[in-house]
Amino acid sequence: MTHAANVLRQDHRVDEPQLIARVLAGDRIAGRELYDAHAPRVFRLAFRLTGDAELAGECTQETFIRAFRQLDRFRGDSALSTWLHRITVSVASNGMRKVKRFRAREADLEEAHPIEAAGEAIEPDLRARLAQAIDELPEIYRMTVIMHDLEGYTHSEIGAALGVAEGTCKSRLAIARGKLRAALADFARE
Amino acid sequence: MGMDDDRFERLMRDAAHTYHAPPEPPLDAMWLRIEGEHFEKSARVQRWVPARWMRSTVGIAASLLVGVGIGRYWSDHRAPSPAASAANGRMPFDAAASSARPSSIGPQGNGAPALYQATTTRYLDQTTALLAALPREARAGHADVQFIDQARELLSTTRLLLDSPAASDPKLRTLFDDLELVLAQIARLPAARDRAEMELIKEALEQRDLLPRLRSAVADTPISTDD
Repeated sequence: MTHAANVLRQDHRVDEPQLIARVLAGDRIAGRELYDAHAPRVFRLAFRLTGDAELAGECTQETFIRAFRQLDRFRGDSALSTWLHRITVSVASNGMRKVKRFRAREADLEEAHPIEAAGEAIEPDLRARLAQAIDELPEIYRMTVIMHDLEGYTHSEIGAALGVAEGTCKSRLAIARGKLRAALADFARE
Repeated sequence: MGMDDDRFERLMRDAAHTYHAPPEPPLDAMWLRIEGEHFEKSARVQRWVPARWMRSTVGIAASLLVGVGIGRYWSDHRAPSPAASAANGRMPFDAAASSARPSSIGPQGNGAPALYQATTTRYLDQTTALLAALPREARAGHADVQFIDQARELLSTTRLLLDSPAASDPKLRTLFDDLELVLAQIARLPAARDRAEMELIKEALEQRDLLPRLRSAVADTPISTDD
């Protein structure tokens, strides 16, 4: 990762307007610096939404290709990251509609790269049931719970990415979590 | 009965690490396609500007494109260099004379083929009509969509003409340059009303004396009798 991209990660507003201007002028080095600063999070989000590394890679590429093409329309009224994530959500949704697949729960657990949180002993069956329940949520609820609970986006960021008001986002999250709890009702009695 | 809150929250915290836990992104591999799609394609489009104009022009511009090809063929085959003429046994004088034949002379005797005369005349007529309508549009405080669309088409044609033998005449070239500036301003007008912008364009028109120069150029352009 370039030095500028590192600086950008520490304070993503530093140098960003200059980088954007350079990208618009065709400076591919500036393009790479912007990409380095934002691609990891874009990829994470795409992977969370799709569950597939190849599809997540395609979504990431498509996000940046679209973003660079439309960069002259970016007015700076939101953070660049928010704008990028809005594109990511749209691209991932389209990608998943075309693919329409979720890998089997067993395959996901084998191929994923789980990091066990310290002190959190979760039964594998319960973990698998939750993952299935998340997969089966209607898309608007699934995206909300993934972005908020799993990726740490604020309601404001999620609202901007999904094109809804913050209040709607909070409401959707509550509904999504209610559905998940209902799906795990069997385990509640244990 | 649902799951208790603490247990559910622990489960969600665990899911943050385990649900579709992302691998390391292949940043370099992904960048290759992005760079190729955006930066290399953009560079190709900028080098090949005529291709972009070709996609957005019809009518006058299409005939201009044919004319460029004819013009190049004409300049290659009808005006041999003195050296080539000498090599072919012809006197340089004959080569110079053949290039000055009246049928090949453009509006100002610049040697542009007759095709350009008809095209240039049509272009000058249409541009005159568009710009003559500008004061009315400015008074209305907005330009309608058709007006702006026509300005865009004429802007494309202007740029093609600038790249053609029609612009070898200095007076016409200067006129085309000034028209390009004004047409570009009109083409960029926003959909919303902007009286101030319209007034600025009208002022530019008057400062450059464009309408009288256009009418003069139309009057100077001979009616071509060539095919």
